[in-house]
Amino acid sequence: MNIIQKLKGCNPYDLLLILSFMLILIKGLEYVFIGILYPLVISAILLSPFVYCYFKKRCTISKTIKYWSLLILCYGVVRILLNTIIYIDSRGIPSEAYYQFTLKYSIISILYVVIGVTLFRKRKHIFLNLSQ
Amino acid sequence: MKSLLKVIGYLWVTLLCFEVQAQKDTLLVSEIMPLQKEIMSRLTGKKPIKDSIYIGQRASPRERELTVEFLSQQLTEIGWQLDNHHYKTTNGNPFLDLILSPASGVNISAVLPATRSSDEYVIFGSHYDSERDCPGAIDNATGVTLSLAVASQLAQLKERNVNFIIVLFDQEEDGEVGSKAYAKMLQKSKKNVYSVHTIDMMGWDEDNNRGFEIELPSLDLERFYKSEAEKFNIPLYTTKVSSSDHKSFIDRGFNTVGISEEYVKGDTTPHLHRPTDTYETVNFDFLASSTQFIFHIFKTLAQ
Ligand SMILES: [Zn+2]
Repeated sequence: MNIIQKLKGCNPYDLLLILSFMLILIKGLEYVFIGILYPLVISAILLSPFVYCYFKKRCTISKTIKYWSLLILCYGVVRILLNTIIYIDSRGIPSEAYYQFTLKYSIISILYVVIGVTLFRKRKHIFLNLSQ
Repeated sequence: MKSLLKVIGYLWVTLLCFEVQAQKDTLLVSEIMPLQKEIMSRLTGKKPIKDSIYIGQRASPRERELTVEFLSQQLTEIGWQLDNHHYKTTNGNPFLDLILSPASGVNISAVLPATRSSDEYVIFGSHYDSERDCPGAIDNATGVTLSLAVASQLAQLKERNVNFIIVLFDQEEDGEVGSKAYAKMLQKSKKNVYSVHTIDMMGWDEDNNRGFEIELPSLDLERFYKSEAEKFNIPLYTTKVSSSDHKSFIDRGFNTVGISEEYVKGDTTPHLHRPTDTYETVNFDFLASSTQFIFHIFKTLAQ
């Protein structure tokens, strides 16, 4: 109950930023569980500017969010482009990959784009504790 | 006079043995063929694989799941102990890994223990998946039905001095994903594996010579297969084909052989990876005679 009340009082754009972190980290963790580390390492490297911000007080959070929002946006666009290419010509694409381009995949790709655009537009409204 | 009688007696016994063996072999074929036709028709969409579900390929997750269900049931019915291997692994491409979920699949696996205590294993099997838009009759429902028929015959042997494992691999068409995952797991298990035999495509024999190819065999296995093939008067050719499941085991140092119709010699299906790789194109006589031979190989290894 306490957590729900806390979340209700939160800035929705802060929550959106946290959601974007989670999505990227979950992608990395999915592979860690099967003994493959590089997706998580890449996620950690991409997230490192936020860690830098946390320790260096002079860092401006809105610039970091700008970088992050563009990254999320690009990721969503790449996913959609890949889906489009495979829709046009799927020759040579392994079946394992081919059958992952589902409706769920499309919805998640669009979600990345929406999150990216929203974070970019509302970056000045995001405060998170690390900027204090 | 006495020695002449001895010779005649010897000849008569030999002839009788041949006669009995020939009868046994015919019996084996008449037993094998209906089973293979039945399984083949289910796997290639000629008959339903479950209730009223027909599958025209074994490529999508749902079709593979139905195939796993069907083949697992077949193995249980013939008395093997099911021990399916579920795996998750890389998509084989770092870029795809950053975008997609890990590749996942099921290698259908079952054990037939030795009749007397042994820690030695002989492993054999074939991939059950197919290319997209391809019924995959020869590639590789033939390998699967051959393996199943051999498994059924092995279960009926009164004496087996080694343990057998049958593995029907998933996702061979995606770059031997299933067999790579299985070979990795097998190596970790530290099992005492004597040999691994994988069968891929065994349904085309236009020249009716019953010949087939062994791919990248170990020296031991090459010698063994060739000497046994000679007894059966079967032409056997060694090739360097590496594009199938046997490669996954060779790479991990197992005593391995790949088995296939005359792929390099050219007496091979022209329908490979096409929608025309159907039930109707399978040479069931060749499939049954190859099954007989492979069963003989394993029976000998079990002695
Ligand atoms: Zn194949």
